[in-house]
Amino acid sequence: MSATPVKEAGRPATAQRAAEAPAKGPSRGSASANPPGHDRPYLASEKDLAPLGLHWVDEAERPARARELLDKMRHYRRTFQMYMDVCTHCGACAQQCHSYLGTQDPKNMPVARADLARRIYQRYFTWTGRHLPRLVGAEDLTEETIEAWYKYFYQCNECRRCAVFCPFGIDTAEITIAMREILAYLGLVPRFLTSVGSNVLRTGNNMGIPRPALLDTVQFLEEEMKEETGKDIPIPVDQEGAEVLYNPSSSDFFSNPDTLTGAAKMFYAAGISWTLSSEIIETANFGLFFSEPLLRAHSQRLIRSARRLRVQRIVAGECGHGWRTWRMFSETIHGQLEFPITHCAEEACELLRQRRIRVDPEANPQRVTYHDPCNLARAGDIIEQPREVLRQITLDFREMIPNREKSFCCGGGSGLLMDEMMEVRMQLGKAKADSVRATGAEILCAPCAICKAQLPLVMEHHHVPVQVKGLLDLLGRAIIL
Amino acid sequence: MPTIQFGDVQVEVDEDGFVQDPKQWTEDLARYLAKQEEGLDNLTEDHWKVIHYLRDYYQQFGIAPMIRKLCKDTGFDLKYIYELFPSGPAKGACKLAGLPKPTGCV
Amino acid sequence: MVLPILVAAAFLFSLTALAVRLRPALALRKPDFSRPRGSAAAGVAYAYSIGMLPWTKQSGREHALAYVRGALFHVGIFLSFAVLALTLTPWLAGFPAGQRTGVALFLAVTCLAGLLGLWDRFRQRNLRALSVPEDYTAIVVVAAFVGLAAAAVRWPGLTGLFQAWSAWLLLYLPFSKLRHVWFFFFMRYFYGSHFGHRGVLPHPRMLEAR
Repeated sequence: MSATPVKEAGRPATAQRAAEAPAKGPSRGSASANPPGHDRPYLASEKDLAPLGLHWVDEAERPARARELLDKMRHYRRTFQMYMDVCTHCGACAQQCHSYLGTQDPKNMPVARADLARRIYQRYFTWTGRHLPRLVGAEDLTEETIEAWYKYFYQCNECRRCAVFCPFGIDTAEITIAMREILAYLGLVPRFLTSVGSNVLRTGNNMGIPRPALLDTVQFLEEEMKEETGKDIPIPVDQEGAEVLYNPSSSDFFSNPDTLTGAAKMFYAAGISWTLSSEIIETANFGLFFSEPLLRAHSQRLIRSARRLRVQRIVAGECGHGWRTWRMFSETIHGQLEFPITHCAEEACELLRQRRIRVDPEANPQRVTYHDPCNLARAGDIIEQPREVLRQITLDFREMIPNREKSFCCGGGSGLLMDEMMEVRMQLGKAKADSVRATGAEILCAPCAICKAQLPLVMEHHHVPVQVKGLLDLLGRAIIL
Repeated sequence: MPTIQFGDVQVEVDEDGFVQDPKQWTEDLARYLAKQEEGLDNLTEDHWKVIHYLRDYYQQFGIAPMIRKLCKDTGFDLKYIYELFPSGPAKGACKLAGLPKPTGCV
Repeated sequence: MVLPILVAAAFLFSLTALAVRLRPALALRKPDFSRPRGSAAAGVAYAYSIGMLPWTKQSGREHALAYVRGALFHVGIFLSFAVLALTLTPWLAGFPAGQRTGVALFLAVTCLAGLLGLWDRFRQRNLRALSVPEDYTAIVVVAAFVGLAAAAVRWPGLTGLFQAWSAWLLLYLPFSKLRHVWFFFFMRYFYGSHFGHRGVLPHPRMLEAR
């Protein structure tokens, strides 16, 4: 048979698909719900939503339903209600937001983004908004409102930098989290997020790696390490009674193997017994980005695994928001835990302090700079530990400016890694690219899987010649076995 | 979900052009996708080596292999894989091999 | 005698309305059982001190100017409330004329700072785009309050007008973005305790970090 695609042969397939799509945002009139425009993520279909217990809400019913959900949200989250009430439109956040700096879209100023919700809140839930809507800029909730929500709350990386600069401390990330939750209950979720979500429910990791594939990959990496070092460095799986349950990012099994082997070398050198759990090889918890029930389900899986394997502590791998959810939400969800949850960066830092591992900085002679992932620096106290490690395992470490709690986001935060958003993602990464360029670094250390997926593309796009590596990648090179 | 009419079968693909049902994959479809999605007029022996390796791995394990393993087992380095498939191993090679799109933090 | 009673009533109304507005939010306290990474108390202390300094809050000279202008205006507002309280007592007349003129001049400057803010809001494209009518009226009402305070300090004959305007301001306040006068302190507290608990702020090297 010869390959003769009959339909519109000669036109690029993307154009064919685009031609079938309607022109506007989240409407679902025709066969394909998704527009060709790339300023917002592709929508999940009803089939994609089903595993997550979410459903489409009819377009006609959406505004009324959205209003109900907004009402529920203000009674559910204290911060949400406070943030709605307190803003004075001073504009201090505008120049601090990489999303606004990169896209130059005024609606991406944190204050303007929050106003997309605030104007509706005012209209229905405040006296002034009900009686004098024009005075306070209160607006009716319409289909256009919901379209704007979908677009702009998915151009926010939930990085919380604006919170640090707001005179009140309004955390727009919390507003984005709340509004994405509302959108999810309207059935408006990026397909990228539902695909990750259903992988997590099915396999316990974002990529959907089943146990046999995990074992095969682990075996491959053990052989690689043997070849490289001549030593038998194990990557144990499901080993009951190990001291540590190491919970990596599943991307370590696909694109960042050096992060995983770095951890294996660290535990091997320190003589710590450790294990992976085939039930959960995923620090990331995308539930934080659109669905609290998913967040809880994934968290329960982690704690269940740790108890089953009777470990003494959980060590989180290189992931930003995952660390935040494990460290800061686990005990609120489950109550007091019998084991602590630590981060691989503080683990490495502690082992170096105790001289349980030795390192040779000559292994990393290049100039290295450090990118503070938002959720490590602004939500979880992993700020100085990676720096302490880097100063010992590299020869030429430079701080970039701004850094720590003022660091700019990579532009992929909150799960904005979908290909269709590439143009926006590159704009979101611009502020970071500028910071990195100024350091003249050859290696950019970014201990977060999302950052590691986003930054190489951003750096290439903005012509910054730098390699992106995890912290454990560099440690793995420097460690003396 | 968009479809492409291919011979007398309708093949469902997602917006990124990934075939939804890996069982529908044929070598002809791979040639077609190579032209449409990657701009490749013909597939060389090396292309097929990667494509068949990916398919075999997928059929055994239900997922795409680690990129480093793909390189090692085919004997091609990553740079060469990018030469073969301009969109890279995940977005290019997996698509032509009819695998689902690798998702997650990649 | 009518005006002081009106001011007091408006004050009580304002406070009650704000408390009613704030209560549901405060009642929504959800427990956070996570083991602290840092100190919530230190975070609160930071939020009310170093965290409010211009170099931690702002960046760039352009913003530093806006900061000084805004800070000055707010000092003037709080001073005007003090003046309002004094006009309800017999003590204001006891101050020497020189001191009163000095205070009046200072208040006039802060009033000007507020009006400059209004001008900024009007002039800057972005600020104008995100402003709603109330953003302007609120500044006008408050700047007039500060201006009248200045006038009342210098010319006691204008005290009645100042008090009447104050009563109006207090009645207007809960319906306006001006409610932030009350919410601010809660917000800073929440911000500080949240970031403090998570060990983000204050961290030992924050002063050199930019």
